[in-house]
Amino acid sequence: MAAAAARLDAHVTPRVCFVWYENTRAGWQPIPGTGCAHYVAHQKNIRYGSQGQKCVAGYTFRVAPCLTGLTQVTGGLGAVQVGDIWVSVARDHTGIVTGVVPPAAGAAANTPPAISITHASSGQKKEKKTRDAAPTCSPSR
Amino acid sequence: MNATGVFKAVAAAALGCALLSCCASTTPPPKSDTAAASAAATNEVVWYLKGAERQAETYDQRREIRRALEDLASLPAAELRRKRYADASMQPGQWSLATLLQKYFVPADLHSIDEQRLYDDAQRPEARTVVRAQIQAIDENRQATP
Repeated sequence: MAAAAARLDAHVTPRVCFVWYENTRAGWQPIPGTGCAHYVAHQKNIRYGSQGQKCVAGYTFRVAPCLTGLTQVTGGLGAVQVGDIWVSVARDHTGIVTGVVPPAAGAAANTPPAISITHASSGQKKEKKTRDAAPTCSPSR
Repeated sequence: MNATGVFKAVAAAALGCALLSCCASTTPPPKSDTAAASAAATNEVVWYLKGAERQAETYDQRREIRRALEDLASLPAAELRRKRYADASMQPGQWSLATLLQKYFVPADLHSIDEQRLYDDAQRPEARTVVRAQIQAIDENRQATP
């Protein structure tokens, strides 16, 4: 099990549970995918799915189940709050809103808040915090 | 990163409990004989990609996935075995096609790819249909339908 976890890419977090048991010959194997949903699931305690859809610790590792029971934030970017789950248009990457900074006093009208998203970044090979100054989500809570 | 969907949790998170239970279970789950028999009778490409969830972070990653899928749907097995693709950080020539699929696709039913079968099975029409569906999903910026 530890050997399989050691083969995971550096950005996967948490690591030790992102494995599955294939059979007696192959033993433990890394779970496929980037681990983005697995990171969010651990942070948000998301455990939807059958045994084959969850990590050893019982958290989902697919994006779609991470959205189960959630409603899309509406009301504009000003309605986004820390702790909300972010997902890409194609539903192929996900993260957590970890910062919302309102526009400075005197900023132009309609200036959106600066939104930070923390996600397991396969591209950067680490847990990454992205400052997203102009997200395009359509508000309507 | 463009945020195009932000979702609000209905229930509160319980981060502390989540991390505490992270390493709790080391007992292997049972693997059914039916599943193993089904695997042997199924096209390896179809089994892995049909209903699989694509996971990718950047435009470059999606472009590399698409390039690999185009190869999978069109090249002979011998050539597929030789092909190498950029890894997630876009270092070229790092991953075989089988490795790329496992890095970016979560299959509907977990299993490791049999690389020997993968490239031979890719030549079959049913495999190319599934691969084409995944390519179309990338082009349309969505997940492929199962």
